[in-house]
Amino acid sequence: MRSDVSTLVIGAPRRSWPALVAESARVAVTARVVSGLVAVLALVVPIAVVGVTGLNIEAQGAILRQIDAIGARTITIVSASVGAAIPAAAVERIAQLDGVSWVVGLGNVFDVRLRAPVGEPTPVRAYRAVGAPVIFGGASYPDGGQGLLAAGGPGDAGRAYLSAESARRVGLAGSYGILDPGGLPVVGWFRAQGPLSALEAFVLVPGTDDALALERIIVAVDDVGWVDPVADNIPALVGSAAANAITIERSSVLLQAREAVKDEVARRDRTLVLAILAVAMALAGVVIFAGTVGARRDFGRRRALGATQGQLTVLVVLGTLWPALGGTAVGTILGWGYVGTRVGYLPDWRFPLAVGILTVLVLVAASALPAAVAATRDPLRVIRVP
Amino acid sequence: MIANVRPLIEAAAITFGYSREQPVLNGWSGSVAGGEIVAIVGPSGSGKSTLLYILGTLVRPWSGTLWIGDHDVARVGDRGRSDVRSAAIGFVFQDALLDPRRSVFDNVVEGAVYRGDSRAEAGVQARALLERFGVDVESSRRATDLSGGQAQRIALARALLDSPPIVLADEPTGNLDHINAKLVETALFEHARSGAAIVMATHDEVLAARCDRTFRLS
Repeated sequence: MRSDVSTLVIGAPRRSWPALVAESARVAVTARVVSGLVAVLALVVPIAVVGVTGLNIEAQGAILRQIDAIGARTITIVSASVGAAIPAAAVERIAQLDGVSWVVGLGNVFDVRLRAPVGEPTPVRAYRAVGAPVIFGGASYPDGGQGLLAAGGPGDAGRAYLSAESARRVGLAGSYGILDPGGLPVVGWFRAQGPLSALEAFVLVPGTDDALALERIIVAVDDVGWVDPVADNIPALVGSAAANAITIERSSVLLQAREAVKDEVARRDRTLVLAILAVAMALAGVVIFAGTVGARRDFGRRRALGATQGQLTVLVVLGTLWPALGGTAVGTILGWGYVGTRVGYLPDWRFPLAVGILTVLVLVAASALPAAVAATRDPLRVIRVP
Repeated sequence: MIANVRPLIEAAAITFGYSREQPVLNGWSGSVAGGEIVAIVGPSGSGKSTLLYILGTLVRPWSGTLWIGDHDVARVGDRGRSDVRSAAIGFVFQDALLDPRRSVFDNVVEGAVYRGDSRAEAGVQARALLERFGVDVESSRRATDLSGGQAQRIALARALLDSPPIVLADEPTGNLDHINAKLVETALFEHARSGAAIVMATHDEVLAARCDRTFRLS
């Protein structure tokens, strides 16, 4: 401690934040090259991330729709033994459950001969069915249209429908035949799609009797998440006699495939996003570092005028924040619009928002190290004139 | 406000260098009182600028004590030294060291940003100083394409903003013509008469002879 105490008392400056924030905006504006490059990076990153992941999500959706079409969203109830048939009324009861898209009940398969107006009779296999959502066509339904095979529905009692492909193959287009034995008239064609496309190999005879005994029920749910809740409720709806004599098959393999596709796409998306962000961070770090090296005397002057190392760090970081915010805002909107235009689907707004926030954080983080280096650089070496 | 003429700067046994093997300053001691104007002279490489910037708290000496007012700045960190620099020290550099991207006015008031002072209050002082030093360029004009004299007068206004009790000048007249050199010199001497401590590193033996004292480095 020195002996004579000076009377000059030096108080700490007030160090106002608003003044520093305003100064950082000035830094961003005057450092045009660095700010411009940071803004370009901030523009490109969300476009790339939102664009690429948006397209991937669309591609994933297409694959999942194909898997769902095969039957990932279906539950099959099979009567396990002869004589333990499921009553047709179960179809109506299951159809009432939440999450159920449609329900088809199939009776036993029986062999018949299709007698066309011309040519030899053709052996065909027929199903009695109730509830099948198929597209009907023919003289009675000239326009075609979705309908259900049901008593009182498009298929009147005692009539039958041939698949459109089979009708064409056996030469029944425009004129129809008779099923023997029984003399059931074929009054039109049907088209079944997705999980029901296998029905196209058969003649369908609408179920007309509540007492129709079913051997198989196929249930389609709105979303794979409904598979388990709906399947769990089915035993209570098939009648006490059948409840213990049915097997309920869920498309576990397809569900696993579905999850695998989602996981794989998500993993690839994560890798891609991380790669894009890492490259952006590295580029931003190089650009900002180069900018601070070029501004060494500027930092030296600020130090001489009383700026602390912390204030200089804040100036560089905030000076990066402003162009990053501007570029990211534009890039996020463009990326979102690109996905919407390209695939006709706008991702949830939270996704581009999250990408935008992440981009800004990455670019600001990239400025931290150059800012710290610039702030701690020896001012003596840069401001003295040799 | 400075109440008496006891040393505003008091250094003892200051050692510093750019390599451990060859210190530039080896046990230097000295003091500067308020109202005193002191020249640091010596050949190139003798450590004039280095000593000036140590006194200005821009670098911390390897060893020794350095009191600036009531602060022992050799023992405090960057924040403490920056506080002292911001509150008590004005710098005049040989090449003015203005920011060419700022206006003349903004260059003068820049220090207020780091002190947290009101820009409006600083602006009143800045205009008065620019007028006093006869800066005949628009204060809103960018500080580019200025003559050496104009730049140094602006830098002088920046250094004297808020009347710092200590002003450190590194070859303040080195690049100036006679008229501008005289103006800068006069302004520094006037500031010393108001009670401030002025330390200037210079090669100009005539200017050094006019100072109250001289620190001679070899």
